[in-house]
Amino acid sequence: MTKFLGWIGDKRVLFVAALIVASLLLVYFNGTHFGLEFTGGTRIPITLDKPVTKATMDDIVNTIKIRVTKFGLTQVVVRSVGDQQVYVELSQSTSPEYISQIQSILKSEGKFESIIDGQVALTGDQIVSGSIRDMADTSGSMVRWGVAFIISQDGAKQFANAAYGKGNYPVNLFLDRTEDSALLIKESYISNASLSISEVKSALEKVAGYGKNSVIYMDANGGMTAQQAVDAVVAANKTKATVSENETEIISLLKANNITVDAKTESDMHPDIVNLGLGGVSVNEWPAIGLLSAPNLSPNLATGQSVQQFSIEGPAKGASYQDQVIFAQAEMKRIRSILSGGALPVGIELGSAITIPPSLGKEFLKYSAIGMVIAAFVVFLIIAFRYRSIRHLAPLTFVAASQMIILVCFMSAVGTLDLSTIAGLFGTLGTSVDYQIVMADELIGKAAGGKDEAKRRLEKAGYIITRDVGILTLVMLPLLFSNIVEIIGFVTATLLGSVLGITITLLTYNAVIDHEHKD
Amino acid sequence: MIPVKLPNIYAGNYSLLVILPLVLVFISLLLIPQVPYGIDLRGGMLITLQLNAQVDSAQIQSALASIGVEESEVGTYTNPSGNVAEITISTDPRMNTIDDLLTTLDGIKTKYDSAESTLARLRAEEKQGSDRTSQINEQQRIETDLMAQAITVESDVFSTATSFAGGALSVQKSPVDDIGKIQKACSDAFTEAKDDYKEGIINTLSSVASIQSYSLEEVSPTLSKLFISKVFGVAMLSAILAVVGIFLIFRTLVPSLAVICGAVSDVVMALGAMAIFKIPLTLASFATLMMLVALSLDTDMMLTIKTVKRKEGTPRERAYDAFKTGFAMTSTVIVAFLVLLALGMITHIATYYQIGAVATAGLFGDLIATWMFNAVLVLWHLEGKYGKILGMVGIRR
Repeated sequence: MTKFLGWIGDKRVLFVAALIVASLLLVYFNGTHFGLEFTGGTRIPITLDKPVTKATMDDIVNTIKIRVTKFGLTQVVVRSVGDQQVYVELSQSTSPEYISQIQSILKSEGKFESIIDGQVALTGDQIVSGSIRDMADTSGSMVRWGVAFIISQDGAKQFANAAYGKGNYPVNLFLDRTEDSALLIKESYISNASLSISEVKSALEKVAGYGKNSVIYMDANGGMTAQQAVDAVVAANKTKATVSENETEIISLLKANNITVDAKTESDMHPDIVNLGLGGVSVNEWPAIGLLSAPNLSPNLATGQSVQQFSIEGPAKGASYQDQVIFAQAEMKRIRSILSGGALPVGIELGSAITIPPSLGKEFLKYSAIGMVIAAFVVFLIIAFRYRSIRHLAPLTFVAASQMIILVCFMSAVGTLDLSTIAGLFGTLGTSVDYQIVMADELIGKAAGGKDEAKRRLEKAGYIITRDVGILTLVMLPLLFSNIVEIIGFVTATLLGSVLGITITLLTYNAVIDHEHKD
Repeated sequence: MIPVKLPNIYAGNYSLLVILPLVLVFISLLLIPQVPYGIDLRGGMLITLQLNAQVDSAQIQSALASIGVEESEVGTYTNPSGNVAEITISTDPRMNTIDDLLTTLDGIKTKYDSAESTLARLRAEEKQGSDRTSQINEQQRIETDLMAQAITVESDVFSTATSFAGGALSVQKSPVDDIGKIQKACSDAFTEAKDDYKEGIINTLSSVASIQSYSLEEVSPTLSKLFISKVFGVAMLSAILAVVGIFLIFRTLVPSLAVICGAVSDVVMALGAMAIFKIPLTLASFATLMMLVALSLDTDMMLTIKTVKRKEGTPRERAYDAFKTGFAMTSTVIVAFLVLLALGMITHIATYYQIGAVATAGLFGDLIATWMFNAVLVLWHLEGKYGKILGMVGIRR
């Protein structure tokens, strides 16, 4: 018997064993990932009107993430699937109301407004869509960024009126302006070495006032308690409060007082203040109220003449030319996204939400695992019945088992085990012994010819199975690159399984032959 | 060594073997048009109802027909939580109509925006002293035309959406002549109509069945069009790659053709089985068909390499040898997919059921196609029968 199992210590076989250990370690460190069908949860599929490039897709996924997180839904996963679909997934079980809330958030688009000295000069629907374009100037040593766009005739008239005589005033660009809210901030946010606190406060109150918001300084007069802060909101006659998400005590107290909480990140609460000199103070950016940029109005535009072609531009910051180009690109992207109201670059279509209860998912997983074990057992029985000798069965079982272990570990640690992957694993289970059957049948009863004959037969079998794997790869490859996410797991498992299968088969059988013909 | 002795089917007059595969392929070809399409490829809705009590399928169908949903399929089964009804509804044609209208509107908007940009440029040039009156008039005429078209499309969308929703919509047409607002109104109307339509269906269903909970899976016309074009592209590309690969391996016509014939008849038989057992063509079953092509090519090539490229023994012996190996190979795969099929039937997971069923049927087809058809073609080739046939019709090689 030991004569037939001598190959186990061969370095090629040990290499396969090392692969198994590596894949187990991969699972240990990466963890296993299961699809929604097994974990339970809700998925809202989104279809884009047309396929997009990788970069655009990243933009879209980011925009959707921002939309979703802006409404405080942090337990939501947004991921692209292929080049034309996006999945929004919630792991926890959810009520239909919650799902429809998310659906309406996903559909919502931002509202762009530009305000000059308290007057609305331009709104998003006055910008001719598709007219927004970059106009960076990278020719000189100083890079300038710029975004040009065209506005409608009505928009041009409105802008000319609002801008009349306001040369060099800040043009406040708002996206989803916060309105009628109490802004709970701290004086420490606005300390500025070159400006007095009262100057800054009046500038802040001015921009906040555009949306009838009031500003409350929580650390004024030795600091407020949470109760005092809430009292201040009530005193300001507001039913909504914008506050940093870190202020958990205040948030729960606000909710207890039936005040709507608009939680922002800590950094969104910090205004960016610019000293314009000559006593002028401008708030350049304050995401808490939706103020995202405030370029200065060119005096040419303040003459009352209506103009339809506009541009927003400025010098790019950065030490090197390269840094400036990167800055310019980022700035143009930001301005573009503000002007278009945070709109997605392509139209989207929301699909119906699919919900799988976690208990059902567990059930599915349990049945799948049991099925897998049964299938493995039956396949083994067929092989055992056919070969009935440890000499053939040992390498066959070793190859099939190591192939399946590595494949399952890899697919669950690097990929995701979903329904289609599991179905692919069943197929691989069936084919896992196929290459060894070709090998074994070539070698059976013909070993008498000695090592050379055996090697020659091994090569013949190798010829067949490498062609088989080659053709399988050719046929399945277009599916792998089709971006049809519904079946990608199935295809990956099948392809990877056969490549693994042939590699392990060739390594093991070469070792077996070498050891059987040692003497 | 081999305990199960498979009969040597090539010992006698093996030519008769081709009758069975030929008949099966012929029948399957006739059946292919009847292969049902799953909702991912034809668009539509799959509603799964968890019921408090059993319900009659015919009752559900007639209730749906009463609200204008003529084409529906209803399946019922039980799961640990009780009775389940699965209802498949095809995409309503009005939905496709609105979808097309929205695409048209999108095109109008693009043209309008470009006219608007041109106008802005012309007006700016005029301000600087150039005379652009005729061009401005021309652009304005274009804009007026486009606006009129947009308004027509808008009223088409609203009338179709109203009929689709089965009642008045709360969304109003755009009060002003602004294409962006028209577009928004149309898409809102479409969304509302779709929601009303779904709500109508669920309400109708709850009038005939006591519903505990329901889930609704929907494939929009856009998505199903996308899937169809992808499936078609993948199938073409895979076919081309496979044919090129096979010719590169064999470099002779007859064996290559035999291998390809084997794979094609395998897929045809799988499709025939899908028609008989009403297994829908979905993304999952399509991927399975592709896998079947690959697996069937595997055994076909093993057969052809063992019989054509080798010289030991007679061709018949070599074919029998290959048959024994191939039978073992295919039977292990069949067993694995049979377990998956059983799993699909127990859990009612459609992906498992479709993949398991198509693979099992296709692999049985593969056994028949490879060993009764393909093997015979190869043996005819090796025993010089083509020469005789060609000679009979007067062609010399």
